[in-house]
Amino acid sequence: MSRLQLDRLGKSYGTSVVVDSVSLDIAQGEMVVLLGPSGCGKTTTLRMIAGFVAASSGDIRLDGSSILNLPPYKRDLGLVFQSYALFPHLSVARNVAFGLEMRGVARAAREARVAEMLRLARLEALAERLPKQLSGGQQQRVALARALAIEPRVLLLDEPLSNLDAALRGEVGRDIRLLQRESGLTTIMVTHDQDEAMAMADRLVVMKDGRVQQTGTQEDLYERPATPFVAGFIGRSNMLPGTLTNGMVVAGDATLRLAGQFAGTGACTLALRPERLSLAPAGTDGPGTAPGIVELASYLGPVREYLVRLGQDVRVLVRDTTARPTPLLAAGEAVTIQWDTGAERLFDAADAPMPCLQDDPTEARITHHV
Amino acid sequence: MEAVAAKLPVAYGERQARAATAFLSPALLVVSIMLVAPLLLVIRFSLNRYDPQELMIEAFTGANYLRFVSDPFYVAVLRTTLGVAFATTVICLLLGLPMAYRLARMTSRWKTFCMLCIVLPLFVSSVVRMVGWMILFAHGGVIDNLARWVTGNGLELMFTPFAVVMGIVSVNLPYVVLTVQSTIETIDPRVEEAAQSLGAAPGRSFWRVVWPLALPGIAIAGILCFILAMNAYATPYLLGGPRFQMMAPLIYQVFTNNNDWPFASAMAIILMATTLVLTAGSSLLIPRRYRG
Amino acid sequence: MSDAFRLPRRALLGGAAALPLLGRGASAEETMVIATWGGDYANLLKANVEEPLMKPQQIAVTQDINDEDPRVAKMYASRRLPRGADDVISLQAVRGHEVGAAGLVEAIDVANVPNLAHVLPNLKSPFYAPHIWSPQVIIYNPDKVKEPPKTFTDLLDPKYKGRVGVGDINYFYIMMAAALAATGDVNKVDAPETKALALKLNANGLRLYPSTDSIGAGIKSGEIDVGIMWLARVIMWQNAGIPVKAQFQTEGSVLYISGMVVPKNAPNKPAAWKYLNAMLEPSAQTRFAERMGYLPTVDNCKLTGKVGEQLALPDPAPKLAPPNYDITGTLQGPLSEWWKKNMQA
Repeated sequence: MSRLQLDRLGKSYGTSVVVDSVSLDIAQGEMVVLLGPSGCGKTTTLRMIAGFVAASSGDIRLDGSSILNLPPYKRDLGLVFQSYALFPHLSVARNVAFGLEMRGVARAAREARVAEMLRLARLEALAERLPKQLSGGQQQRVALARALAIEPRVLLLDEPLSNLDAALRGEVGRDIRLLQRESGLTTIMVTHDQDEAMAMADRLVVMKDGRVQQTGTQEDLYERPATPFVAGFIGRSNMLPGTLTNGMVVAGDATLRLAGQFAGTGACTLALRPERLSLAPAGTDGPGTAPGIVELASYLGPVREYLVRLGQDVRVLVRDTTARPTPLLAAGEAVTIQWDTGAERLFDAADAPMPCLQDDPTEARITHHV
Repeated sequence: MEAVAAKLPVAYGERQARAATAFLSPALLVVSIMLVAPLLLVIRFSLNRYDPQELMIEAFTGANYLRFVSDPFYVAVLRTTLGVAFATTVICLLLGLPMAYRLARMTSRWKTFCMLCIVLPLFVSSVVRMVGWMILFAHGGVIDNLARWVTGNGLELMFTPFAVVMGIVSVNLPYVVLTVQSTIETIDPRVEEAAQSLGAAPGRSFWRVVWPLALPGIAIAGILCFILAMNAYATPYLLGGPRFQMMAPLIYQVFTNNNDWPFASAMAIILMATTLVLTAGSSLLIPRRYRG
Repeated sequence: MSDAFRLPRRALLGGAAALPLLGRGASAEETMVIATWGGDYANLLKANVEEPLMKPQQIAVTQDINDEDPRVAKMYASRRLPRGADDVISLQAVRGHEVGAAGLVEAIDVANVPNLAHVLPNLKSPFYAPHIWSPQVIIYNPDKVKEPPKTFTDLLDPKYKGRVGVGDINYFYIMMAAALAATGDVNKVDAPETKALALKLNANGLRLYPSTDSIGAGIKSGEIDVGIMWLARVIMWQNAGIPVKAQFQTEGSVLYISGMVVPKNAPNKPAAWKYLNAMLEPSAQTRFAERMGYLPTVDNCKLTGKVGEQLALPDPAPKLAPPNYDITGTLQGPLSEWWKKNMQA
């Protein structure tokens, strides 16, 4: 129940930098998810906080004071692992009691606390079982109860759902979220699964190659990705590298008219959300359009998915989510893809987002549905 | 019709069992010829009577066993053997456990190198290794000269119980390290991290988590070490000298020097039985839930 | 130029000369087996008995190399077999007479082995063919010991405390030496006086060495200054640069004798007789004296030169005490156990 600050935290092995100057301020009771592909440095960051990996630079502060020089067993952090890491030789109750025993909590108080934790984690009936007699979901609940029993200052979750099958993931994830909310615990979770991250986080930190790409709420990341990587990692995006001239992006032999107005010229990357694109009849003109030919059309029930060819090797995925029943367009049909300012994101050569000069969502025009 | 249906699976099961027996039988044959038959022969010999001229006279007598247990000399040799085996096992475990732990938790490329360093002595005959110890321990040897240089007095370790224990430790240590290491490797390092995150200092986390989980492996390593030490032959012979008596060299001596096969057989059976009883007894020391 | 030509030609000639030898070897019809010690002894047998004396008789000899104890054990174990594995077995005299008394070996006589006629009178035996011998002496390091001990009892002097070494495996010879000193009779190895004397020596910090060679190493490293060993070894060690000298005891010297027996179930007894005869040939006996320092067991082998000097017994001739093997043979087992319990403990 504390404020956790990472201050330009770094880790390098020799010349290879694993975590590069990560700064993060996590408020009391907040749940922050570190998200990124494997090898992005998220787990190393978590292990530095836990104390199992020594930081090469920077600082970790808990309620204002550095914990960098404390060994793991003095940091008062609760840890939950992907592999559960339960003590195989101890019963569920003894697993949960372990941290209290280490702290020298008196027997009566210990038993009361264990009973409370088992109740919270819905494990009362399994108290005397050994871990190997439990299902994966039950084991992870034991791990959670064990970590929470010591009333840690911060809860650290390392891919806690990855070993569970899909059906259980949602359930255990909700359990974690509820217990965390209830106890008002400052929590950091590490995952590579963006759905899991989106579902559980108050705030997300997207990492790549040891660096923080963007920190923000789910909406921040989805609506205003700070880098092409985030645009591609959170939700889906059509990525079109090209050149910006006079409000047009020339990508290969295709030309796209931008919806917003952007200053500057030169190399850029245009990111377009497939679900924010729509199809208009061929020949439609104006801002936020590009002509193309339907190459593939799939009817997926609530969604129609089209792969539209804008030019040689330039293709765009369009997810038409129109509620009205419309006939599926046939492959080979000439169309115009159309979007408004909220669908597009333009990055310059240095992958920094380019500001949109005229960006008024109220100006959204009526899209023409074929 | 019903009867036939009921019979079928039984016949199939029988056939399977017969096939399994057939696969096992060559191994069974080898084991019984190479192991059981000589053992039965030794038991039979141990009940015979020795005669200086006739050597072995067919009999059914317990005199050889009685001779062993009633002669303080032989009982003392058995006691020495047990003492050396215990000391060796304790030292091997004390030295081997930290080594095995470090090795199991190593992830760098040094691990291969360290493993090699531990396995390599197994490629050298134990007699050759003993020659190395002899050079170290002998009068005018490395330790003797070093002690003389430091303290002014020489230190002769050759032909001492210490030399024998050190020699057997050096032979057995790789087995202990490798056995324990393979057990520790099956313990998820995250479990130790969990213990530490819950407030257990590394020492406590070792005793509360690694030790109980590794106990079956440690017990096997200890038993292996004990059995090897009980039956040590070359080391007590070469490093203990003529005045240091352990069972295996003594049995050999009685067998070949005196040609007293019945008594040597009885001694061999006593050594084996003692080892077996203690081995079985030691497994009782391991709490049931850690077993297997 | 001429050298370059000569070399291959000589090699060719050598090759040609070897051919008929090989042919003869291959066509040898008879084979026999000698069970013996390995090392120098076996090599010398091969070079001086088997190659020059047996091969020309069309007999190919195989060596079955092992220690003495297993060899004896094997004799006992296979005595009921109609056909044994070995034709000739090398044994020390004590063990040789032990198996002789047990009825395991064939009698020998001049009819079968003509050279037995030359065997020294005090080494003669009806079934044991002595091959080499050496008197047992007190050995000492002349750098450390100015006045050498002259009798077994001199070794009890406190100044030799912890400085005396003997071979554990030679226990029977040590006990014979003790018997000679204590009772005047080399055969009384189990007399109470003999055992008391041995125990006194033990109490004076006697060092037991597991092998004969380790006694020489003990002298060399300064671990011991005096000991008991046979003369042949002293000569070998002197040749190896170890500071050691021999002193004959005034009470007399025990004899170390090594020889050969033919087991009753030897598969090729005629070859075995020929082997015994060959190893008694002066030519073979000389080489063993030169290389190992043992004395010839035959009267027709006169040593000359350096060997003659080294092996010449001192003047006046030392008293030599050959044991009565009929007595000592039966004492092997009990004495071994006594030694184990009282001297080794």
